[in-house]
Amino acid sequence: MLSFLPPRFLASSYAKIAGWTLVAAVILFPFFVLQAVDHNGQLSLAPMTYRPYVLAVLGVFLGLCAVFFLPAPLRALGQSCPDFAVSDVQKKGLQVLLVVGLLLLPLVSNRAELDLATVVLLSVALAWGMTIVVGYAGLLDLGYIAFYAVGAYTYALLSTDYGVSFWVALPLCALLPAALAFCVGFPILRLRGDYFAIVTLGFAEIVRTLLINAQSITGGPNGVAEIPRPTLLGWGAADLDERMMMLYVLALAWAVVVYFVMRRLRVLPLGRAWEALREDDIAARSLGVNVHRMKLSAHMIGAMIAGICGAFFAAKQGFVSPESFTFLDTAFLLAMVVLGGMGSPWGVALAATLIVALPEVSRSFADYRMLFFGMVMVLVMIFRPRGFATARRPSVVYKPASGEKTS
Amino acid sequence: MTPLLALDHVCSGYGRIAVLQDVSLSVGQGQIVSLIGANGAGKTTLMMTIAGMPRLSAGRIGFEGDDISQMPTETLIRRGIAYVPEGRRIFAQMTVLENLQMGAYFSPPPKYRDDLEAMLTLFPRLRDRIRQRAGTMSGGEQQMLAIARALMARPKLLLLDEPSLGLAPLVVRQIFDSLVSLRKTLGLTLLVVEQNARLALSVSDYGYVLRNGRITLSGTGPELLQSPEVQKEYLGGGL
Ligand SMILES: Nc1ncnc2c1ncn2[C@@H]1O[C@H](COP(=O)(O)OP(=O)(O)OP(=O)(O)O)[C@@H](O)[C@H]1O
Ligand SMILES: [Mg+2]
Repeated sequence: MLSFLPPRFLASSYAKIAGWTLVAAVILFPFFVLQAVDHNGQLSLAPMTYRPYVLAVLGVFLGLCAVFFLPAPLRALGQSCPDFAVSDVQKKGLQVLLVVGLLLLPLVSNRAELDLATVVLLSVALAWGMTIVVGYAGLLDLGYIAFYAVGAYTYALLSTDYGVSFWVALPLCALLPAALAFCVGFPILRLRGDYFAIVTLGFAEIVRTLLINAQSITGGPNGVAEIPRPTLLGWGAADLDERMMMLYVLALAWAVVVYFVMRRLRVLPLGRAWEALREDDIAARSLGVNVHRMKLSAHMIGAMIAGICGAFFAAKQGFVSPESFTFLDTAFLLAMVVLGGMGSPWGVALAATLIVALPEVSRSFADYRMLFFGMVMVLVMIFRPRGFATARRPSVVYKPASGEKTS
Repeated sequence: MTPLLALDHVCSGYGRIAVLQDVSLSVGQGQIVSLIGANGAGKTTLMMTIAGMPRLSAGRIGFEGDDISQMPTETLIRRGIAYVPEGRRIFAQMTVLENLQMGAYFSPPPKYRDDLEAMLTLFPRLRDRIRQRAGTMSGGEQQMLAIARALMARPKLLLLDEPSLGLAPLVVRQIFDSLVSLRKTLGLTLLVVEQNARLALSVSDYGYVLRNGRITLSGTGPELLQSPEVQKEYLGGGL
């Protein structure tokens, strides 16, 4: 087909760069450009927004250029880049430092910074929830954002229509997505890999379309506004600053909770069973793991976490609309999970922070988010194909004398 | 006395593909029974059918006198049937210890500690490699791990699918020796699928020959070793 081109060109780096850029351009096209939006009650294609698309493709292109034209020693350096080898003591130290830093943050930052920090924390928690589903249980759930949406709308509608307070609504924001995850998961969790991914993708689109079309209930494309802000035993009602502070503290507390849930799950039989069935489902079944039940539990736990994140999101914004729950958001979430290294809480947190915070730090940078994104994806896939933090830490260590102990 | 495991006229297969036809066999308490047959004869299918995946389409499987043919796999494991699948299938990313823990998925904690020590004593190589990632071990070590992992559930009946696959004769010998000793110490009952018919039959109390999904021959170990059919087809020609 391309034989009219000289063979030397076809074998060259230029051809490879051009080829892969073309592939990226084709694959990314539907995600960025063909987006269904509501148009006076009718679904139609969004007005062509080429800019992010072009930038993403350009990013892939630049990343590829960097890879192919990087001087050999530099390339070798990149490939041999060691895992973050931190000792346990260093790790403890870093964790303490991080928590202290996060606690002191409200004292030294202004409103905008605090708001951004809250968004980052919620995104990290959401990405961690998705890590449980995608990284631990190995279920490529491309509809994860739907549970986030359901949680957000649950709180939004309960509070605006029925005056239910945040803390009363919160359990429902976890239970409803979990119930939905059960109903949806029950039939489709029997599907394997790609099929599961496609069906969940469809599910998320159904949820979004429902939110747009059930105008009388959800407010349609306009969303739900004036969602009451929560207070914590009266704290957070005084003024805007106090409210921001409280939302930040809530988000921090929630992220910490999700972190410990994650850590705990990994060493529990449940987490081990997920890992086992991800590695080899026949072996897992032959050891008595009920594969279907395990997948269902991962799906439901993930949905609960997403639901609560959604409730916090709605409470923080005071406004929700279907626009916040598109496939692009799922793609960003997935990028956080994959870049972070599939199962590593710290790697995912780092990736989430970079992806959410960088564009906000400098407004001009936001325009080039896609550019940056495409570039980073290519570089990471080449130099760290398994994500930022890859080393799998054993969940249990053998101690000859005293038996063994969980770490 | 009812045998520990009894298959009565079992038919099984994958969807419309029928593999096993009218298979009957029995395994007595404390016996070692081997199953031999050519590639594609349905040996793995037979083992998997006993473990409940796939389900049989006709017949009955009795375990300790109860019909278990409709029970889900995890119930069978709890009742004392352990299955070491063909090709080892250890969890490659997990450490040896984590693999062994997975084997004790249903075993209550107090027993677990003793069982672990027992396995590490039985297979000392595993003790040396307890922190190693299972996927980086040699084939023989992986097979030992697969067996030890299955034994962690304290089964009454161990189903072993081709434990000798790709292993040096010496290692195969070692593994069989440990299996025979296990029968003595734990009162374990074994159903073994083997390509190495000579070795398997020499340690077995009884053997079955499976051909095209049917049992064509059965007898005690020495009987089968003497039979012309077995000699010709599974022991490498006449004499
Ligand atoms: N999942 C499956 N779906 C459809 N057919 C299958 C499946 N697994 C096995 N078969 C078929 O069933 C028949 C018996 O296969 P089985 O694996 O039981 O043979 P085997 O006796 O274990 O052979 P080997 O010695 O090579 O392991 C074969 O013809 C095989 O192609
Ligand atoms: Mg087989």
